[in-house]
Amino acid sequence: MEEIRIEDGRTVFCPSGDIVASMADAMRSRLRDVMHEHPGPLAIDLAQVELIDSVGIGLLIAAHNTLAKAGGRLILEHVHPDLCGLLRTMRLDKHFQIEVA
Amino acid sequence: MDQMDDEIMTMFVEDSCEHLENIETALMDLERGGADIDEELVNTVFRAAHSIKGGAGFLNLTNIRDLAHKLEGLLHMIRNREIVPDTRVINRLLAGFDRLRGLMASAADSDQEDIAAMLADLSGLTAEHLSPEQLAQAAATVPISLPDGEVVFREDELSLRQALTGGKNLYLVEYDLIHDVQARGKTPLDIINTMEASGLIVDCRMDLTSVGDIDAPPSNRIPFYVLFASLVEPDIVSYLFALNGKAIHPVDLAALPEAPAVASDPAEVLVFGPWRLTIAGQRASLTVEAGAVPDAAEARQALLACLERGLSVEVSWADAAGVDLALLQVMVSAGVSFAHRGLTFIHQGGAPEGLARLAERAGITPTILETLELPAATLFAPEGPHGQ
Repeated sequence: MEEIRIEDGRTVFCPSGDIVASMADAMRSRLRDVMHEHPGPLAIDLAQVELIDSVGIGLLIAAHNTLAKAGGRLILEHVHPDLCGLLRTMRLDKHFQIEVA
Repeated sequence: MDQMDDEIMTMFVEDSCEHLENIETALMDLERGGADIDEELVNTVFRAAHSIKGGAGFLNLTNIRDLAHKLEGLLHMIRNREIVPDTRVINRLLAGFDRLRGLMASAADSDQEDIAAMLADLSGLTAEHLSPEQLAQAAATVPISLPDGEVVFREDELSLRQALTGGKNLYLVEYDLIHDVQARGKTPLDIINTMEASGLIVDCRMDLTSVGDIDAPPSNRIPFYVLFASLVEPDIVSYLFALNGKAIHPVDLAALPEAPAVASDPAEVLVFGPWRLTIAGQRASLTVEAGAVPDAAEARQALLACLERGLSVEVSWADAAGVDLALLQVMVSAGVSFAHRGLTFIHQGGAPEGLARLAERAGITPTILETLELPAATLFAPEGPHGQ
């Protein structure tokens, strides 16, 4: 289950585990509800995420695309170093805002 | 800065200092070897710069990252025997690593320091060892497209050629993260690891728009394009990546279209009356509006702007409406001035109507041009649409 908090004017969505295919459908509908309820800046806190698979990447991109339509971009917080390496290698750091801390 | 970031920073500084520990000795040994380089030694220093660059990029330490990147570039050229590690070069490297160590001492505040002069100095050293051809390559952008013509990447030619050092093959690989990766029980990290173990990822890109937004149904296709340089031959590469051969496109650098005059920096356009001067990287092109009277004084200003910046120029003036003696004089003296400075001044697309006749009436013949050490093509352009 995810925890939602509002911080510095942005909505922070915190998945409690990896963003992978088995979790993706449930997480997608939760995230969609959150984004409808709180339009505006959105961050996903990855403190408890060690693995993101292809479906997970698709979910992050979908959230980003919705934000981008309103001129925003997806913020990722507390990105694990390995994940950060992956996102950079895939050049996704050019689209998402990646915050180590 | 929170605790987690603090811990990573401490680890980064400790690791970096360890890397930097024996650099000085290694560099001095390198200098003693001169042109006969010890590759293992160069690699040790290269890896130190490379890993510091990576860590600093991760921590957003811009100064440390940029300085490490410049040092890495120089070491890459030494490794490729494009620069001889003589005393002057080694002194620059020693100074650079010394500065890096200084930045590391207060890593968290390192972006407050002004290192612009040091970066410029190292860039200068790199640039003076690039041949004019390499400088032109650095400014030229090469489009890399799928068989259907869609351009997926635009890369500068120099980086491509550097990535291909050693006769490697270049491939444009199309992955679909859902069918080629997820459905096979793999993660994107697996495919990246496989590729990095057998070659170099020059660039990659995801097609974000095909994924849709959060309200759309989950996408069953996520295209991921990779530009990959590898020693692996074409017949083996599809096995290696467990991909259908149709998804792997060998790129033949020699067969790519002539690089257009576009640089990685956006082109700058200066307008001088009817003349437009387009500057992209090290290339300049001067064109005259079709049908406009090609004003000589304005042309002179535009050409002076090129000379000031040390740029070779390509002039397209075949569509100009009439040429007068003043413009002819400007063009001839420009030809002399450019040649004098080792720059090229050439015409593109033929000479304007009546130019050759005018030149001959003024007593300027191909022979006269030769005595000025100018190619006849300076004025008597090869047959173009309006060639005489």
